Parts: sequence; structure tokens; C-alpha cells
Amino acid sequence: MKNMIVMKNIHKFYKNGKESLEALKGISFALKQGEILAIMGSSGSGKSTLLHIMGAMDQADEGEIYLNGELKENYGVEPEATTIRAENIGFIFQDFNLIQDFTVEENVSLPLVLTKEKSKEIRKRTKVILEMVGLSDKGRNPVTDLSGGQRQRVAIARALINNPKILLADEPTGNLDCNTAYEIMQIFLDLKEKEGQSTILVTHDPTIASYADRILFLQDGLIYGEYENKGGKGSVDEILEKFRESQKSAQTEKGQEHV
Amino acid sequence: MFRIGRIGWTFLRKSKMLTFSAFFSIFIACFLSISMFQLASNVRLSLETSFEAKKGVYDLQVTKAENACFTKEDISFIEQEKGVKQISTGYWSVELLDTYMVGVVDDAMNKSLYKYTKDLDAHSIIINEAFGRQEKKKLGDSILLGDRRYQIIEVLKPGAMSDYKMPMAILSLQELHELLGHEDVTQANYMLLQCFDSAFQVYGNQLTLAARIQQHSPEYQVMSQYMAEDYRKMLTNVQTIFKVFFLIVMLISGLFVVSIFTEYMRKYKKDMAIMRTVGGKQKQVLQIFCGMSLIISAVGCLSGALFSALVSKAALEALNQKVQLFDGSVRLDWKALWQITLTVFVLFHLFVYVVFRLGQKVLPIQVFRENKNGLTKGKGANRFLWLRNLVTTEGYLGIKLMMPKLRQNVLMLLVVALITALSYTGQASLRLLMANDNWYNYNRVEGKQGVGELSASQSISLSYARKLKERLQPALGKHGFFVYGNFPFQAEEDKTFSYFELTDMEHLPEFLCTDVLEGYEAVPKAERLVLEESVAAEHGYTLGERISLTAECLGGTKEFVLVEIIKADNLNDLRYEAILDWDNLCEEKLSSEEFWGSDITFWFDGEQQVIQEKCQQLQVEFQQDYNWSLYDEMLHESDQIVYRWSTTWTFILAMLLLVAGTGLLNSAKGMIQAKREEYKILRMLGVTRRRVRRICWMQIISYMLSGVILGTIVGAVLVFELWNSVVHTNAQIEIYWEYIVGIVIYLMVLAFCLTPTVRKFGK
Repeated sequence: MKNMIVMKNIHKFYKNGKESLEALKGISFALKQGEILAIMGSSGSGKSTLLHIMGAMDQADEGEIYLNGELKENYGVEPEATTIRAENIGFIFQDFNLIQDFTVEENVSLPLVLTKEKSKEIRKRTKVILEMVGLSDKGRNPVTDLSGGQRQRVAIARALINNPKILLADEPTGNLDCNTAYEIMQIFLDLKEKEGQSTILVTHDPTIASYADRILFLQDGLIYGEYENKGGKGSVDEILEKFRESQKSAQTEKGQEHV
Repeated sequence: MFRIGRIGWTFLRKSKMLTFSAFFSIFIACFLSISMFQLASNVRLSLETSFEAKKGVYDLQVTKAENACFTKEDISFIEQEKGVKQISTGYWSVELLDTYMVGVVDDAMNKSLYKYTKDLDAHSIIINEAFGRQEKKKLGDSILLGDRRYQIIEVLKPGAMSDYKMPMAILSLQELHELLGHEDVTQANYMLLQCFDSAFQVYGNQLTLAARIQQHSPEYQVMSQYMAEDYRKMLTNVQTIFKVFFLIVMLISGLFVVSIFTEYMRKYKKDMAIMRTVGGKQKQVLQIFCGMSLIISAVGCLSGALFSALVSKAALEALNQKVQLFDGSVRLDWKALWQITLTVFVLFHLFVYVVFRLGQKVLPIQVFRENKNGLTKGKGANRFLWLRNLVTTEGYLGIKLMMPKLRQNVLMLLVVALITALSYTGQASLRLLMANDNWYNYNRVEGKQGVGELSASQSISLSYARKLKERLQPALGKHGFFVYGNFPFQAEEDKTFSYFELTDMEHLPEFLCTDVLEGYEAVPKAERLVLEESVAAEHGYTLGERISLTAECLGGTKEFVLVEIIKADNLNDLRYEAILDWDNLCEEKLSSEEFWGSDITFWFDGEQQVIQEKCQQLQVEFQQDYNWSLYDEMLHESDQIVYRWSTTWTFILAMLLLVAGTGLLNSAKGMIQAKREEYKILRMLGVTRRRVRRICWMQIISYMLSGVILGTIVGAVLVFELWNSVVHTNAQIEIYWEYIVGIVIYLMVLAFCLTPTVRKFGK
């Protein structure tokens, strides 16, 4: 199975005057085609930073990124980053990030509206996508009228409309109750099964992570472990245990550093 | 592009208040700009019409020195000159006492000079109202002049562009000469020339023609209509003032519109970042905002133009009734209307485009980065807690909550500050300049009724000067005087002064800023000496001191008594080193051309009517070499000018304040709505509803007033600087508090409109 995206030795620093903070300390991993990969870590572990770099919204300070097998030297650099986002990435946010003044249809079709796609094709595709996420009757509603779960579906629909090779989801169920969260995760699973969609989702919730094929545990900017789901849904207990192990490893290493 | 435009249109629709504020601002700016240019156009037209009417159909007027008549050779020379299309002649005389008699060749040029319309024949006469009053005659009456009887066929009305207030009568040329007993009934002492192109359009040629005529004989005096400097200066001043007004309107409205579009950018920044995350280009973001700007500018400008087309006429007529800037009814210049509309449209669109280009680049990462990386440290907390003692806790919290919005809306506040500063500064400045002007005028006339200055191209003999003085005595009045000369004092040794003036020391020349010897009347007239302060100081002379002066013009040594010292004064251009009585000149010098002067200055202190008539006489005698000004007229004119411009200025500022107020209200509303969560937290912490509302009001009021406070300070500094640098008088600076109070009341009324919004908080 081919790798959709490969991250090699990614480093990211934040500097403020003389002070410097290393958010990512040499991350390496790959996303396979049709895979759901979860990145799990506690707050401040570097999950969001990693996601932003993968989403071509930020630039790594060191390391290499391969997209569809091709090295992208200017992965996070404008204007190439815009093209990468437009053609390859679909992004889903924790707080949905919908345009409040638009209707559901307008939000979903926005990525295509910004291209040279014909209006007829845009309307057709929007209809299909809305049906896929179960919102075909809500097209003309303003997004402010929708519930949290519905808004997240709109966000997913928007992320999917331009057939992205990779879907990136940043805590997609963070603002939702567990029932709604379940519904959203089912959508991801459906996308994987029916469309072969490759997805990276970032979460701190082991229940959500259990839906993934593989889980990477991120602590203090490094990957401290991996969990592979052998079939069906993963075991939450095992995931939790692995997570705690990764935390311990990280703490041990940190302690050794101080010594 | 259409789809991008639709996104922009959606944002405009959804931000009704912002959009309305932007539209209203552009609408008012366009309307004001068009109105000002229409006003300027009407003023220009009025001035041009008035000048054309005054100018008449001739381009050059030629006279000779001492009003001598033209010879046949003179006329032949001018007739042969290239560029001369037509010649007309006339003869004027004041031989009949106190009446200005003119004999004319009855043609269009003379008609336009004297503004009469009827054709003159041998038995007809045209008079002015002054003549009619003097002779108790009216239209249709007959009048006996000498042994001839004439029918009055026309009476020139005052204000019929005729300058002549003294009694005036117009006859045919032949009739006048016969009446005066002249042999040559065709002789003329002035010529009117019509040139091939108008004096203005072929200015270069006319000068050349005028120069050629002047060169032919130094006796010639040539006056070109194009040399009407006062008219040109007036027109330039009017156009400059309106251009300045236009710039100020565009500046204030531009700042305002930029502020609103910055608000749009801020409001939709996250949405634009979202677009960037889904593949939208930076260029497309710019296109969306530009599309919004294009729509608002186009609609605002078109509406402003249409509104102008509908109401400008009535509005300008109403304004003109108050300020009297032009004569006649309003004429709309349609071409200017559309040109200004287009200019305003382009300018506003450009302002906003520049802001978008220079503004922050929208990066998708900016959507998410609310929490920084932990490296940024804030400033010390609770730094201004002591403010609670000054403005209460509610005031302190209101100001704290207001501060972020203040930083964001600095442009909006600049607009209010600018308007506040301009409104009372404008008035204060105009009044200060008027006080300055009046002080200058007062000093110029040395506290008398008026001053006349004769600077003849040909020198005037001392005897002529004495006769002139006698003629003018009724107008000079008790405290009037004149000085004549500026002669070199050819002292053999000990040169006390280099130049001196002559006068009749019967009455001391009463300048302002002088020291006069008490009991100077006891000093014989011829011994009285007046010196300038610096001259007296240089030689250590004091009042009452006897001074010997030796000079050829005095015929040797003479003793004088220093009876007056003239103090130096910055405003007074006159610099008289010394003044002597004219009887001091020795016999030999009395008739010498050495003491023929060309500079005489008169100060009038008599009755105004008498002064005006005398001045008219002199005007006729000396044409452009003589000018005069009456103090009351100068004051009145100064008053009128200030009234006109301050009224127009107030009108413009009021309109701008209307626009700015709308925007300020809108942003104040946004400011308190943005703090909804904060107010909920305060309630949760136990703050009563009443206190929350008070905090709200403190927030609103401090926001609304911050611009006014800034403007008051800036304006006060501006006025002080103006007073320091330009004003020479001891006039006091007046701050027009009524304007500031008016603006504050207006903003408070606006703030009051937010009552329903404030009531919602704290629930």
C-alpha cells in the first residue's frame, strides 16, 4: 500500500527573543493509503503543531515531507502551500470554523467556488456530498441554525468536496457529546470503507482513537509508541495503557536529561 | 470573478450597520464634494460675469501723463499697431467744478466703460444718481449747462458696475468740447483699444502690444484688462479654498471609510483564513474585499451624485442666501458633477485598496493560533487600579474593557478628533486672522478713517502737492494729514538722517505709536521736527531738544525742535526717518525738480461721504497710480469674508460629523456586544445588573469622548501655534467652547440610542 504522506525527522522551533521552544523534536512517520491514523497526546505534546505542518499551514524548521511519494521542499511555504491545500488536503477543525454568514450549501461548496470549476458541477457535487453526510435537507439553512453535530458534518462535507487525498481532523469530536461523536466517527469509517479515504485525526480521547487503524503516541514533541488495531475497533484499555507507557517513557527521558 | 463577487456581496448583506456606515460616508463625501465644486463653479462664474460686465468690450485703455490730449501722431501710431482691431476715444474733464464730465465717441466700447445704453446725440446727456441729487434732476428732465440745454436720456444706477460715486455726466465728444469752449472738438485724452483676441486669451500678444505702446513714449500710461490682478487673485483664492475644503472632506471621509473596511477585515479575518485553508489564494481574498469596496463606492457615489443633482440647486441657493458668495441663481455644472463623482469613486476605491494591500496577509494558521507558544509575556497586571479612585470601579472596568476596541478603532477616533479640532480651530483661526487683519488695517490707517496712497509714475511738484492738500483738506478732517516726498537729505556734515518727508506742520502728523511733545503748539510751525525712534536714539535726541540741521536744501543751518518721535512698529510699513515742514526748503529748492516727489500718503479723518468723493476725484486724476482704503470698509469686508467662510466651513463639518457619528455609534455598539461574555462573567461574580449597565455606559461614553478629548487638545495646540507664528496682535485666543459642547451633546445623543442594547446586558 502506498504512502500518502511521509514525515521524516520533522523539527519545529518557536522563538521569542532569546528564548526558544522546540515543539517537535524529530518526528517521523507515514500515512498509508486508506488508513485512519490517530495521533494521541496530552495537551502541549505538539499534536496541533504537527497537524498544521501536515496541513501546509505552517512550515517545519527541519525535516522532509513526501506527498504521494514526492519530496516537497516548500511544503509549508506560500504560494506552493496554497496549491497543496487546494489539491491534496481536507481539514476538519474542532470548532468547525464555518463561515457564519453562509448557508450550509455555501459553506460546503466554498473550496470549489474558489477554483475554476463550473457552477453546474459545483451544485452537483455539493448535493452528493450533503447526501453523504446526511444533510441534504439542510442545504439552504444558515449554519447558525444547526446543532454541533450537524455543523461538524458540514465541516466534513466541506473538507471532502474537492476529493482530498488526505483528510486531517483536529479533535473533530472535541466539542460534541458522545452520541454525536460516535456519529461523526462513523462517517470517517464509512469514508474509509467506501471511498478509501486516508485520514489523520488528532485526539486526546482514547475512545475516539480506538476507531483508528493505527495510533501514534506523541509526548513532548516525540513519538513514544505506536498501537496497531488488528481488526474492528481497538481496545480502549490497551490504548490507554500504551498511552500511559508513552507518558512514562517521556517523563523518564526528561528526568535523565535533567540529570 | 462573479462567484468571488457574490461572496463579497454576502458579507456586505450580513453586516448591515457596517455597510450602511461605509455607504453613508461615501454618499455624503460625494454629495459634499459635488456641492462644493458646484459652489466654486458658481462663484467663479459670478466673478467672471461681474468682471466681464465691469471690463466691457475693450482690452486696453491708454492715457497720457497729466491727462494731456493725444496728438494726431499719437493716434496714427496706435492705429497702425498690429493687434489693434478698433479704437475709441473720449475726453474727460473736471473743469466744471465737482462734476466729472465725459465726452465720448458714442460706441460699444465707451458704452461698456461707462455702462450706459442709450445713444447720445447733440442734445442729450446721461447722468448718474449723484449728479441727479446734486442738480435735483431726474430722467426726462432737461438741464442747462453753460448756454446749452440737454435732455437727460438715461440715469446710471449705482451698482450698474459704474465706479463713479461723484457726480458724473456724459455727453458726446463734440458737445463737451463745444461746451468747454475748446477749438479742437475731436481731441481726446483717453483711448480704448479692442484687440484681435480678447485680452486674456492672447495675453502674450497684448503685453507685447501694451509694451510697444508704452515704449513709444514715456508719457503713455497703458492699462490692460488682463492686468486685473485683484480679480485673478480673488478667483485663485476662491478656487484654493474650495480645493482645501475638498481635500479635508476626502481626508476625513477617507479615514472613516478606511476605518470601516479595516473593521470588515477584522470581522472576516477568520473567514478569510478559513478560505485560505480550503485552498483559496491570497489574491482571491483581496478580490473579495476589493469587490466589496467597489460595490459600496459605486453605490455610494452614484447615490451621492443623483442626490446632488436633485437637491444641490435648492441647497446651494439656501446656503448662498446666508453667505452671499455669488450673485444670481445657481447653475448646475453637469460635467463637473460626473467628473467629481468619478474622482471620488476612484479615490475611495484606491484608499481601501491600499489598506488591503498593506494590511495583514491572511494566513490560514492565523485562524487557529489563539494561544501562543507560551513564550509571550504580558505587561504587569492591575497597573491602573488607582484609577478606581478617580472614575469609580465601574469607570475603571468600562475603560479597561474599552481599551482593546480603542486600539482597533484608532482611525475612527482620529476622524472624530480631526472634526472636533477643525470645528473650533477653524472658527478660532478665522477670528484670530480677522483680528490680525483688523489690527493690520488699523495700523495701516494709523487709527484714522482711511488712507490714500499716491505713487505717481510722474513726479508731482511741491506746489502741486500743496494745491492737492488744499483740495483734500475737507476730507482730511481735523486729525488727517499727509506726507510727501522721500527726498535725500544732502547734509554736508553729521548726517542725522538720510531721507526725509515734507508736510504742513500746522497739524502734526498723528501716527499711532508716537510720543508727542506737550505744548508743541508753542513751537513755530517751521521749526517742528519729527524723527523716527531709531534715528533719535542713535543721536541721543529727546523730545523738546533743539537740533541744528545743516543741508543744502535748507539753505544752510536751521534750528529745529524735536516735537514728535515715531516708534517703530512691526506692522507699519512706513518708515519715516524724519519729517519737516515744507516751508523749510530754501527758495532755490522750492521750485527745483529735485523736490518733485512721486509718493504722497494721506490719512483721512473727515466725513466718509466727503472722503469717498475726493478719492474718486483723485482716482480719475491719477488712474491706477492712486489707491485708497477706508477703515470701516476694510473691517466690513473682513467681517463678511470671515462670516462667509466660517458658515460654509461649519456646514461642511456638520455633514462630516453626521457621517462620523453614525460610524462611531456602529462601532460603539459592536464594542459592547463583543463584551457580552465578559458581562456574563461579571454577573456570575456577583455584580448587580445596575452596576453592569453602569460599566457599559462608562465604556460607551469614554469611547465616544476619547476622540473629542484628543481633538480638543490637538486643536488647542494648533490654535496656539497659529497665534504664535502668524498673529501679530495682542488679540486673545478664543476657544469656541460652544462647538466642543455641541459635538459632545451630539455624541451623547447618539450614545443614548444604545440604551436598548445596554438594557439587554446584565439580564
